[in-house]
Amino acid sequence: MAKSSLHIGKHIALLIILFSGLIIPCRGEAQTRELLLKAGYIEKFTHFVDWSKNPFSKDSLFKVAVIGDKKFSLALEQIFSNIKVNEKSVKVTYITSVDQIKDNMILVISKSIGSDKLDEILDYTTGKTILTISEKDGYGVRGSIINLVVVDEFIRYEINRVTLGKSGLKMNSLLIKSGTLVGTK
Amino acid sequence: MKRLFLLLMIGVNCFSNVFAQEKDTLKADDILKMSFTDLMNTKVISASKVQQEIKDVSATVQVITAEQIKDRGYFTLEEALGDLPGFQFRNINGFNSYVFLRGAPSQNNLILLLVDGVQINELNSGGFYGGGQFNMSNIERIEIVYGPSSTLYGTNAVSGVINIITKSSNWGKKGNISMLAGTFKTGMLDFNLRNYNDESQIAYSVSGMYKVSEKADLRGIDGDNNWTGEMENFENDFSLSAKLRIKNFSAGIIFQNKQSSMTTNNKSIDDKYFDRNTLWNISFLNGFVKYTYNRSNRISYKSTLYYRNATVNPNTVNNIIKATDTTSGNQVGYYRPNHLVGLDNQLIYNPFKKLMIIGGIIGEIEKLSDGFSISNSNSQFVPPPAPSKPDMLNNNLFSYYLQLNYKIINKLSFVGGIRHDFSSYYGRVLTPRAGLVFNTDKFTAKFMYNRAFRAPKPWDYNYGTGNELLKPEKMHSFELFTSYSILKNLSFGASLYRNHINDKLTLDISGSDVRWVNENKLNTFGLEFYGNYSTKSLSIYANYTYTNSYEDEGILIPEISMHTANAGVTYSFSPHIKANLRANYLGGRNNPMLIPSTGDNKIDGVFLLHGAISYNDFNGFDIQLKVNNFFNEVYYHPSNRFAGRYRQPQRSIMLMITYDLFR
Repeated sequence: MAKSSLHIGKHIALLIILFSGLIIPCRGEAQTRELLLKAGYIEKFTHFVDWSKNPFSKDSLFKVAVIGDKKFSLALEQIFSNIKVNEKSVKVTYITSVDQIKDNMILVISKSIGSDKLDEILDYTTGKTILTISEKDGYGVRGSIINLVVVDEFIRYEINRVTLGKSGLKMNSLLIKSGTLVGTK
Repeated sequence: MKRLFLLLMIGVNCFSNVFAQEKDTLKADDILKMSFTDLMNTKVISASKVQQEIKDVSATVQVITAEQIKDRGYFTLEEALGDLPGFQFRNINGFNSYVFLRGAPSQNNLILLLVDGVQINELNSGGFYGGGQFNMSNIERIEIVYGPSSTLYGTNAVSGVINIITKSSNWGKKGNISMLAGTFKTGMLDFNLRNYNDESQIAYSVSGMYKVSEKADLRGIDGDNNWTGEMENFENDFSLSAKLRIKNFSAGIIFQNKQSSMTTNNKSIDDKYFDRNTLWNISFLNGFVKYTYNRSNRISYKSTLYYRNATVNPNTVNNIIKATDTTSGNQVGYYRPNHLVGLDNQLIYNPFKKLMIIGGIIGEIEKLSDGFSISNSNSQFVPPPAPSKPDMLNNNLFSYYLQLNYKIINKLSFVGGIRHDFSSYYGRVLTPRAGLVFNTDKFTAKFMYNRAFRAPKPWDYNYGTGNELLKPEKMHSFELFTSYSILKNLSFGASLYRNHINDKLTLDISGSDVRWVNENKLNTFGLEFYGNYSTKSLSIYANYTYTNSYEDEGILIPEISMHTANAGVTYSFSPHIKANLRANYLGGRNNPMLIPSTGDNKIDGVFLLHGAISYNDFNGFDIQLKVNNFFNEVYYHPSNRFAGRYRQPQRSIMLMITYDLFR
């Protein structure tokens, strides 16, 4: 059998150099794939939620607002560009303050929103027929109606049944069954 | 080489802040086509050895899904592979069966078989075992990567890689239990249970299977007069597996035991072998512990510690020599333990959206038997004593690999990589690859150059009179793959490839002495063409394969047919009733040796029809009736074992009942 002398030490050293270059942390943009998938979830949610009690439900457009990360609104624009909700075209708007929420049916609260700002947003939306969707651990318990979370590389969602109950939105039981219920009743 | 790597890394770091964000290849349209369930089963990172969308992988890839396995009633791995382009078989209806991909016959050591990412090729020979030991009910999907993949996987990934991904739960409790009965004393019991708890982020799955079958009637004339009317042929397979995932940690273990008669390994009519009471008893134990770390979706790191054990157990009776007027005959016992421990560290780094770097370091220590330890009894009727433990050989392997996926423009990517293996057995092997992948929403084109190798194993070094000078056989491969989605539910694809294996390991026969030598070459020019169409209630597939495998002198390689084709249709008559019809055409091919019953070496082509009808969800029960070889065709596979050919199974009928435990 051909036996070769292994110069393993040299190669390990080389790979340490190689990998030390790889693991230098870099500032990163949020991953488009994750945002697109989350936007896909939001599109699916629209099939299972009834906004008929929303005072703006007769508007000609179905409005979705994003607060926090503009990239999320870009992902939503891609998903909803040729999609209608309740036979209405969808308008996605990026907003920066609570007073811009007004006539939107869905408010997406991105993970860049801190907890103080979240409280301010939820003070405004709770009790209104606005579907709030956040994407940060703990935000479901804090009062966002739906909270998208990444579990072991898969996207899952929590539903806060208390805030949902206060909102006047009707949600299909199939959607509720597939989510994790949080909040106490 | 060092300079090249350093320059690459410097380049990566310098350019990481320059390039703007690019879109992932997963498009909004792809997501909109997904069902809610699809979405829930889609990972947020494209992380396989590297998980990527199939269209982005620089190789031809086919996937068999759990739904297809269920609808078509696949009973063995070979049955599932047989409906895909590029596959041909030497089924000896015995302790093993051999799978040839892309025109290269072998002892299954040119294809790498993985279960949940861990190689399960037998350690001493490097070949995997075909047959019934795979629990088909527990398979989520089978991914087949066509062509060489040694750049990522090292030795044996020459003709392709088959990766079996077992079921696991990403949401709630799931599970079922199945029972099957059929002709040729075929029976099976299997179960699987799986659960995912969202709060604790713990997922587990457990599955088991016991399968028995005599496979076919091979007695006397039915078996082409290779064996007597009293011949015995059985296979009993047992499989038990478990997986656990807790947050970033996962672990899995799979135990498989195959007990089979060895009758079909030798001829008994006009030969010295007795065709009953033999036993091939081989066990496989494979396990892994894996840690996965993702940072900002930019860096992901995976470290896998794995253990592999493939042991031919000491109660194996490989063959029995018949008594004669002057001798009492004897039984021959075999024993061959082997095991391996390895560590695979992989880093995937996306410094910017145009570039993905995959790097890995692998270390393995294996203890392999020098060869079979053999014992003999002194009579045809007396079992052999347990063989002593054979001498064990230590083999160490160190490997590293690096692959770059660089998006040149939005729709065009370059893939390049190398792997360097350092083995205490076969020395060092450098394996490069390069390719271009062009993707639009509907059209995909891939042009690839790959190299691969198959390292000799102790089985090769020590076979017959032995040959210590063996070196790895190496393949060069060029391939062009294109696919086009005409409609959302109608797609076509084609692969055109040219493979060249040099230093081919060839059996050198000199009188009664045999040994493996690096001598011949194998050239293959091939074309694979496929189409798929599906609606809500109908799915149709069809494929055709042209394979021209020849030696340098233009001599056709035996056992390989030039033309094969497969087609199938599945139709849902109602939400409960589904029917499936599958057809295989295998063109004529040459046997390696003259066939005594015909006087030539020709094996005729055959057209086979199989079907299954299922009634699903009847109070939690699924019931399926399946018929293989509907027209009871008489057909044969080649033999490289003795002068003859192998009769294939007659018409077989199976009834399977499955109960959903958590409906």
